[in-house]
Amino acid sequence: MRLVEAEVQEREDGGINLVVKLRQTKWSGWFFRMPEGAKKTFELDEMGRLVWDNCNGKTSVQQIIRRLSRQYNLNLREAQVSTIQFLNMLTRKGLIGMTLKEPPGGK
Amino acid sequence: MQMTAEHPNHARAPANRQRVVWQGWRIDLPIRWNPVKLEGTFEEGYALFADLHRARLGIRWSRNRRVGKDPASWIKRTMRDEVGQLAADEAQPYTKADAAFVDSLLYLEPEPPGRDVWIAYSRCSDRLIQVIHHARRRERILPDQLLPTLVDESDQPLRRWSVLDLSCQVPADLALEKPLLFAGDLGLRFKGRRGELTVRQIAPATLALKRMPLENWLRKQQRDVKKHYRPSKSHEAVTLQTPDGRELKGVEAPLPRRRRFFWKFSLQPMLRTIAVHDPTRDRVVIVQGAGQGLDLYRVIESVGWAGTRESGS
Repeated sequence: MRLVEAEVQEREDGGINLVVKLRQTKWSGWFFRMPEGAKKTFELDEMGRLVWDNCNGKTSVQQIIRRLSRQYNLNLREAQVSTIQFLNMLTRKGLIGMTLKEPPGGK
Repeated sequence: MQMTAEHPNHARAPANRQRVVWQGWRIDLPIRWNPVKLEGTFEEGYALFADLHRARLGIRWSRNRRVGKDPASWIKRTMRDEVGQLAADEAQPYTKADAAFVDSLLYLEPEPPGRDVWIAYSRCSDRLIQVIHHARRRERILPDQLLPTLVDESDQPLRRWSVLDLSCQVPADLALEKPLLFAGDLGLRFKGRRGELTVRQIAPATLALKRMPLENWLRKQQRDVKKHYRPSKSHEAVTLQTPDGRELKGVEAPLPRRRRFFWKFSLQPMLRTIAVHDPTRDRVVIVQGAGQGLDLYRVIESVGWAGTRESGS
């Protein structure tokens, strides 16, 4: 699911720009002050957009992989590798978070 | 330039199956099983196939070196090493396999989860092959669905390859030097005594061509070997017609060897690079190479012979 409220700007090539407001963290404030209203823009292409649109807290990673594979006629393995790498990148940037589904019967 | 060429019959896999052809082996697998590990050479190697959940099938092959001309004892010993003496004693001969396989033994795990193992010797290529199915419950997918589709195609003059979404056909004397399999950018590099070849496929073409035009993809491919070859500044248009009716339009350019490497006879004096757009399959295909008896046009037309299938939902 998404962790930030990003402003979405449509691009001509079918992709989107995600504009995210930057927040000053406690420790970085000791060294430099961030300008008021500083923003960071992430450029996503069509495939990135499909993944971002599906990060809604309801769609599982496997469903995203299958959708990507079906829409772009990609091999399932290729779709899996690229989607997981992309989701990892989004997680590292703090844009999304993932919840783990508990296996049936508990841990 | 207009080129047409005839192809041998490229039989495709039945519905919900994908045809995997690797190092001379051909097998039809469920569409969700994809390779996660491909190692080794024609002589000896290993391939592991998995779906989104777990490993499903392993294929291991090796050439007969020690035992000489007695494949039956070699198979028995390999089966014992794989499943243990007690289980190996329970292995049965398997008769539904292709005629090229002799002395095959099949062991089905009576109490899954476990491994079903089939081992046979291929007269065609003098190699031993092991197929290991990771069975979670009692099912007969290995003996009834997978093994009957396994074929050794090594004796063909043209060797077919099909892995993930990339399929092509190259002369058999070109051995796979390096697989370059990345998501969306699949490639195979071949090298032989009389030539070298790189086959690359980028998907989806609509996105790839938005990033840069076909001419730039061609130049980018040429830059990879710029240490030894001089990238060409000009290119010419090329149109190819595949036997199954696809029209491929693109560009091609020569790639001459740099003069300072005139002494290096292992390098071809001139390579050619062809980059085409396949709108039917939505792929960009790039082929680069040269060699005696190597027809790049035929190679590029053969790309996609296994078809592009929709991955199962």
